[in-house]
Amino acid sequence: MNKVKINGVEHPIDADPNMPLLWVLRDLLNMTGTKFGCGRGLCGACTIHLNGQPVRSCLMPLAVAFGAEITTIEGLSASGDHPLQQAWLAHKVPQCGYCQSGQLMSAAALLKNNPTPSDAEIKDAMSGNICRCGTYPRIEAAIKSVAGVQIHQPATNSKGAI
Amino acid sequence: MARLSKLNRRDFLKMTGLGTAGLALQTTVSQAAYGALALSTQQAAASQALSLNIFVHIAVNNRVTIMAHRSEMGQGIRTSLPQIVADELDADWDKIDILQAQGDEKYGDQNTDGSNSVRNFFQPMRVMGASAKLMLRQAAAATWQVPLESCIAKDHRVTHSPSGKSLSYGELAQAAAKLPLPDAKLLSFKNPQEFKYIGKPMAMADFADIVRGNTSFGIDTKIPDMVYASIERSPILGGKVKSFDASKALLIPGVIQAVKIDGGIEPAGFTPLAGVAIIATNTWAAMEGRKALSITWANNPAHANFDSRAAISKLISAPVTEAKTVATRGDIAQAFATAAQTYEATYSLPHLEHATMEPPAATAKVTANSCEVWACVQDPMTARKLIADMLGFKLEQVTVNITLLGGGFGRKSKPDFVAEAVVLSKAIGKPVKVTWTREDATRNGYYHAFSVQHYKAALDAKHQIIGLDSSVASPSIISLFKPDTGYMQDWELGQGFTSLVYKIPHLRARNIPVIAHTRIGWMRSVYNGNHAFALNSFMDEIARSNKIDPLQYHVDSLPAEEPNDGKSSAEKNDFAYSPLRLKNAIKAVQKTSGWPAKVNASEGWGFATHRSFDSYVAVASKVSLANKELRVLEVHISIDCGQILNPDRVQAQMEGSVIFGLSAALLGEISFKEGAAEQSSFHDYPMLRITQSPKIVVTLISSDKKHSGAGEPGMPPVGASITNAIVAAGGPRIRDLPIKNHLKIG
Ligand code: FES
Ligand code: FES
Repeated sequence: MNKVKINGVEHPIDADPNMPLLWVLRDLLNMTGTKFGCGRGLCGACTIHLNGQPVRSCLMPLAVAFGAEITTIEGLSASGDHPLQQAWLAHKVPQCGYCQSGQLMSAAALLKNNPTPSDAEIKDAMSGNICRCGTYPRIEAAIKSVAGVQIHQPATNSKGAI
Repeated sequence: MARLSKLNRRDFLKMTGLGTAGLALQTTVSQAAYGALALSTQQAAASQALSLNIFVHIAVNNRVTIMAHRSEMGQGIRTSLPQIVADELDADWDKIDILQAQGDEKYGDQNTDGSNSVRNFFQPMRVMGASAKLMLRQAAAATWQVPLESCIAKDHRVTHSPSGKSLSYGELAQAAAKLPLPDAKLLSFKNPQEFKYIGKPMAMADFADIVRGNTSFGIDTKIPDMVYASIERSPILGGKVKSFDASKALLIPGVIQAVKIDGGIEPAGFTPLAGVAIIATNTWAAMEGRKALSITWANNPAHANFDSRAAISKLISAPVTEAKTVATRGDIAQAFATAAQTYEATYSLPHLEHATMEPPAATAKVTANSCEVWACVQDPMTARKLIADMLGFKLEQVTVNITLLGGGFGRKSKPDFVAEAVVLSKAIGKPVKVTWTREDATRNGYYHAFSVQHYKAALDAKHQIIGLDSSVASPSIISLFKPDTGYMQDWELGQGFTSLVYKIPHLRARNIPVIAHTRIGWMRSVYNGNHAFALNSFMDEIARSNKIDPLQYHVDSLPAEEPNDGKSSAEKNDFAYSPLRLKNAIKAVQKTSGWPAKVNASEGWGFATHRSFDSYVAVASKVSLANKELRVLEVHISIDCGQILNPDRVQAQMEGSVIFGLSAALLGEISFKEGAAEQSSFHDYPMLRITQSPKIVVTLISSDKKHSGAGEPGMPPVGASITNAIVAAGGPRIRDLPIKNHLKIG
């Protein structure tokens, strides 16, 4: 059986290799932190990291994940204290919260690749993530508050896998 | 184990002084009432608590559980109503667990809609906290055999002040829970200066779970033996399934079966649309199966030719024929006969869809004599009643568990998606989760009504409006429930069309009938947004054509005095219209924006104001048209919504309302061709993105008036503030939304 490494843990998965990772995570592994918003790469609610890069899991077939490292919101940090997660709390960013997993995963990938982004780079990196509740001003402020701060490596535990 | 709560309906009404405010309370809190959300360990401990009333439960381990009975969709209500209870209870916020209540009439009205939660439940929540506190003090007084007055409750403990003896709330819970409910007359409430949580920017109870992806929305439900459904629905109102072929769908791995849903009843109400459901072992297989379906529809010819753009154009150009007069004042003919000048314009706004980030999703488990659902519903009681009626069950046989809502905006007040899950679970004898796709949500919505409004003003020599002759044509929400006459309801017209804030001595307002050809539903701020756009545009046009500062023109058009209704100010309803409060809101944005501010070339400021949900809002926006592209640079918004329970959440609602209003005005359009919505997802029905999000400056006006709405009133003035700014920046006057049909959006 094929295995997929998610948040540091190998999961044997018996499914159609074309099944998008989003549904593998949500329906097969019960990791529902990654959200469905459009299924077409338009909203970013489903953003995860594939080998450290942000990808839309709704468009990413399971086959791509064989042999790759996947990080989801559940594994962004070992105990929910990634600097961005802390900044999100400090800035009281969420409203309904539905888009926020995707927002955090996009922001985390941005800062990992570019620890000191300019305002334009922040907006650009976050432009694929829709927030219908309108939390953009706080997302921007929260990211800026962390930009330049040392970011932990994503944890390699199984916290998110229920 | 939860014991009987002693609060019955009559007690509740007596205590809260709510009279017949639609509250019906049962006398017991069953263990089931705790099952609404998956219990964390902490909450599980709390569920062993003793009930002091239906909202307050205290465990011997000193944890206090407060029931949250309204739906959480980002407005923070799961936190802010418990803030009130905790404050009057003098509880320690860190020792509080918040538990979502199920849909049950014992909690009173749970329809989380109309920006009503704080308006209607501020006092009842205080009563819940204060009565529980009194019971704890009474228990302490009885334990120590001392006078009640000497027992002081503070910080989660009761202390006997002369001796310094003290017991925690947990230690007193058993004794307190045995006491009868105190007489309402004995309750005492804090003075506002004593508030510890009320009025403070408390963090939402769900924040920590949200940032860890640890939340449970409707779409996240998973229960044993559950299967997954995706439904192909009739794209046209009233359409039915004539025939279908699922043979190809059934070949797809994971697909279990296809189920036809009879539906397409008119008026639609919340009943399911007709369609074919694919049932599968996971969501993706169900969606893939659906793509392989072939369905022949039997359409209702009355709707199958609906072309919304053609309908709007026709209303813009057509002379008024069948109009019904819905408001008059003075003598409109006389006003026009004596006018120094007249001005006239027609405005239009298209249909919109809510686009909640979480599409509708519901799980149902139907057995021979029970039904349990888990869903992101704004109105659990309506869902419960609908299900009971559908299944021929009593209400008690139906359990509605309210999950978190990934956005609501009015869409999730309509439980059609819950009804679908119930129909399917009954049909196949298994628990079923129905997940809507983005395309489903966009094409099969409960659409915000389009609107065409015509205004003609008679002006005096000083450019003041002395007569206003107006008409509105807009499908009514009543068409969802009753045979459609095409006329709007009084309350719909009262959302800023007939309820004018300006001093206009002569007016006539008319309503032109329009038959609905889709499901019309309420969306954030409902008709206020349509009416505020047209009137604020019209005022701006008149001001600019006469070289008057538009903001000043609004101020000068407001009554100079508070309306004199013959009542003393003490008797005055806190919700009565106050021109003074509106002027204060205008002053606030004037100050933060520096109006009339200097601008660079190709930039301009626009202003708009509106009163809705008993709150007063003003907006000043700055745009740029450089490089022939519209960019919104700044939006300044002020609100007077009376006293503020949680300033951080009101501020967040203002930020959200600005962005929601910008999405609508700049980008929002659902159009219909041959009866069906033309848009399908975020590429053709886009939402504002962070790159388009302006600097937002919020002013919360402090007030001692009663709490009024906060979730909706921020949105209505946003659109006109932008179109007015576009004119100031040298751009065209846009009378027909969305702006993207006229200008490139940057
Ligand atoms: S769900 Fe993947 S981008 Fe929208
Ligand atoms: S917080 Fe609700 S969609 Fe972003």
